[in-house]
Amino acid sequence: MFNWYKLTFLLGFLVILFVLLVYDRPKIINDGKIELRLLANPPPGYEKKFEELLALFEKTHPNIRVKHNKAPGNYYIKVQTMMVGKTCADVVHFSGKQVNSFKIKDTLLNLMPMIKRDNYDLDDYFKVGLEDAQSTEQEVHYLPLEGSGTVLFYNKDLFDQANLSYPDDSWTWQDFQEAAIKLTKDIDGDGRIDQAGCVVGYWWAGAIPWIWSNGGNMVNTQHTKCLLNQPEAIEALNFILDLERKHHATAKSLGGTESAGVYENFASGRIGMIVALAYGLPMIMDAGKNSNIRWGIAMPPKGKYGRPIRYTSSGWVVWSGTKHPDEAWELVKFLNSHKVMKEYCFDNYYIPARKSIGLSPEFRNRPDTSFDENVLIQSLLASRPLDNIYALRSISSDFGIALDKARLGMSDIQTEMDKVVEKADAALNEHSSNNIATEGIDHD
Amino acid sequence: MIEKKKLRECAAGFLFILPNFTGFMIFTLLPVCAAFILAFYKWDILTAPQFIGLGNFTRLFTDKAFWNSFYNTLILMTGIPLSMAASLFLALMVNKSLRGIIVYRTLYFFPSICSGIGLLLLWRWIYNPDFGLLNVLLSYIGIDGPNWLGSVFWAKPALIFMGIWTGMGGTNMILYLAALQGVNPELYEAADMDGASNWRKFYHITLPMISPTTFFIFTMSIISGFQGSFDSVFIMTGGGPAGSTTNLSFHIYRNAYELFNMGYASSMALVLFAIVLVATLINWKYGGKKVTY
Amino acid sequence: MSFNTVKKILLYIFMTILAIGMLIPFFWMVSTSLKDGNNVFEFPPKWIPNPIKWSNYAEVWEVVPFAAFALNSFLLALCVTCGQVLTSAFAAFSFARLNWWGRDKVFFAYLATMMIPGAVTMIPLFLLLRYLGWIDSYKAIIIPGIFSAYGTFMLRQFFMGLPTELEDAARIDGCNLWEIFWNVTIPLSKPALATLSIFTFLGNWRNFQWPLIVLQTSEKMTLPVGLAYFMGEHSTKWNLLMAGSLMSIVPLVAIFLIGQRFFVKGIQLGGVKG
Repeated sequence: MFNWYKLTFLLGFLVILFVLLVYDRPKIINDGKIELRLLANPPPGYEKKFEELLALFEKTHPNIRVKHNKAPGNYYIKVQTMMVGKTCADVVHFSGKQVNSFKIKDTLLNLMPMIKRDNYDLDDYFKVGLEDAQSTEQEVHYLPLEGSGTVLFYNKDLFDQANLSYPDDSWTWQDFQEAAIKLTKDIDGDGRIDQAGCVVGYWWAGAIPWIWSNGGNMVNTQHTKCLLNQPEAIEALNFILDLERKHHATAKSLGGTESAGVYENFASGRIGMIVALAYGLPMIMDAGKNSNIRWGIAMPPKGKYGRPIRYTSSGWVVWSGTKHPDEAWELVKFLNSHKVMKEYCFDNYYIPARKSIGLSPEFRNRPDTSFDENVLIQSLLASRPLDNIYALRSISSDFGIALDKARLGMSDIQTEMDKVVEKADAALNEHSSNNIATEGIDHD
Repeated sequence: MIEKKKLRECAAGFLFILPNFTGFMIFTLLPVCAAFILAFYKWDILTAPQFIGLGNFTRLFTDKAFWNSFYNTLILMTGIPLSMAASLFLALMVNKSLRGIIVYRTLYFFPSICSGIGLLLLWRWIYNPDFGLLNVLLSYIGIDGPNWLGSVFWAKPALIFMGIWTGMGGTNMILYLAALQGVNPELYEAADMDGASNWRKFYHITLPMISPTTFFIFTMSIISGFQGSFDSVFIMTGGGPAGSTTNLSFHIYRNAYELFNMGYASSMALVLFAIVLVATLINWKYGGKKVTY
Repeated sequence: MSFNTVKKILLYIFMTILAIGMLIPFFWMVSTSLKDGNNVFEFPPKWIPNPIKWSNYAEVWEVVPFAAFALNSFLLALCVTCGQVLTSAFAAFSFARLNWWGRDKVFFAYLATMMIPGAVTMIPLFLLLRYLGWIDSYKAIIIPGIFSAYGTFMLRQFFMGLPTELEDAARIDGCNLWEIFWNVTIPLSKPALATLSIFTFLGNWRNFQWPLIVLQTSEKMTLPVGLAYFMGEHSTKWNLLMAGSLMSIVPLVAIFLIGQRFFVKGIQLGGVKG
């Protein structure tokens, strides 16, 4: 009996067969080349250029074909699933601070043997970039491409309006606090703050540099004890939290993490100062095109023991299960070569990981930028990466929640930190075998 | 004779369900069993799992974060009855045979298809206390809006409100619409002849006749309320502030993929499953009675 | 004007106001999609952008291989929808109308699998597919998608709500179960089948996480993944993201309008009298 429904269902079945068998055929390319898989997300707007760079690599290495895959959204979940399924890409773009979470002994290739074999010049790299992934003399699993330290962005127009002198190297925490208070205004008198004096990142990674600058630390050098509840740490945390709690010198919305619109708001003149990584530079430059604000960057204010500057970087790792380690190493060398790194960093306003580019006059005196690149290098040389130990994840998770509670006035920071330290010490002991103890930082 | 008939019906039953059941066994049931087994292990995804017996469970019962996320999930689920009522209301409205009613059906359905990361980011911006749309609109009528997503008190209501707003014209409305379309019009004609008021028609005819759908929607809402709603928390609040919007699915996700505690996450999923099972059973026994077929 | 006409007009006005209210976020999306990148967060918020950049919509196509991704999404959603409706209908019929040993227990197993958060089943499923060699192929998306329990549950509830008179009449006429299924149950279920089709299509069109995890080739990716390209680690291109999101909704509206036609009143019970 003829039945429209049966027909529809049959058609549907045929469509499925078609897609599975015809449309989805695996395209096997048999050209004898070695296929390298690269997982990297180029910055938005840079995709075409990146493909051109990869094409250049293929031209100079005719026996290799690069298959480039992107993973927007949750990048590290994709990396984890690929690793557990043993189908990971050969070369992966990684953030320095994630490297140690990945049990690098088991999952990432140690590049040191190849570095030694090829006489690769590691000295050309800023040391702090290699430290970001806790590299040592024998173990280098990560090669940084670009990285940045913390800087202080400030709005020159607002400073002029308030008759304040611009931030400079002599600024201390007190100067910073006073300026933030003076720059906070309720312009139209409606009881809501329209102009925020400053924005200080209230997430855990933004708070730790202030602790350093006050003489404290997240963990001790052997990575066996968490020091977040020590007086130096508490003092530093109270300082930045009071900016919001007591002095109301920050914008309400920018409490937890750096949310959308911070840099745009800065560019429209509603924020006086931002203490953040230099990754905000291209965004402020973009947003500032319409508003003609005058702005600059300076070093973050001095604390008792230094400035609150932390370093974060991104670069390349090679999967330890790769079938073509030498070719993968060639790709990494290419992507980090002088020429490619220079183009990549200049186009995207990143700070390169090589001294020969970063310290060059070309970089430090770029004509197309209104800010002083010297500050970027100065900040980088004074910076320090986070303690990227294996237990960082669980510690940072608790730390973040504790900060939130204290900032909202729900609890006192000392009691919260005591709780955090208790859990952190347990986590540190559990994972002590995974840590690579560093004996202090050897700066350039 | 009867035995043979029963056997034939059994055989027919098996045959009809066979294709679905095979696929279900392999692709749905098997991963679930694997996840349950993992609850007895300690696994960081990248190295081999280690058997720890009941270690995860003992940790779970004293873990404040877990019970906090359980509490948050319950609070977030209080929006369910409201959402169902709103969907039913909309379905009743668009069930009329007015001209152009299809336009309205599509318009109401719109917010729920407009979903995805883009929309969630948009809502996050809408809730921005200083410059976001909601507080700007409120300031026009003189209300000083709070820090919606940054306040421990307001974050959950903000999420509930967003959920209802985007979901009320969505799948539930369509389900109710389909159910309303299936009610026998003769029942209404008979009631009209008896002179029944609109409210009585609704209460005594409509509600009972759509009760299987209500039951379905309620069951699904309970199930998805307990274990779903991950995207909105992830994009809009990241579980904050101070852990006040961390619901169970987010907590499990975070333990599985960010803290590398897959085994612990699986054990939480197992406990969650038990809780949802009990809730559904209660719903089945109690709610099942109220359903008329 | 008669009272009925007044009531009608008021109803229209009410529904329109409600529609406008519900669509405010959507209007904002449209407004943002036409803005220049630097104007997205200006304050006070402007509804009508100045300048209006229609070119955003074209730019999306340049940055993301929109057409290819849209086709991929469409085919995947279509396949999963067809597969799921077909297999769920059979299974639901079995659960709702036939009596067999262990039926309710098996049904409960179906229900139970929906109570597990996807986060913990993702990796076991991924490993299973890896074992089968289906990673980086559409099989890994379509086949697990077909066998989800939601469709079976929904259709079962619907079938149970259908009156049995027609089936009994068919049985007396000597039809076997296969014929009853095709000639009685399915035609009566048009609204439910249409509903399930719409939902399944919608859900799979928007599927972001699973295709991202399972596919390893950029060209095979789906539309939500493509839209996520606009969100970088440190910055987001809001205007393009909104423009792309809006364009990706268009097919969904079309599907909805098509499926709409099956929600016609009274069709199924026309054959039952007395």
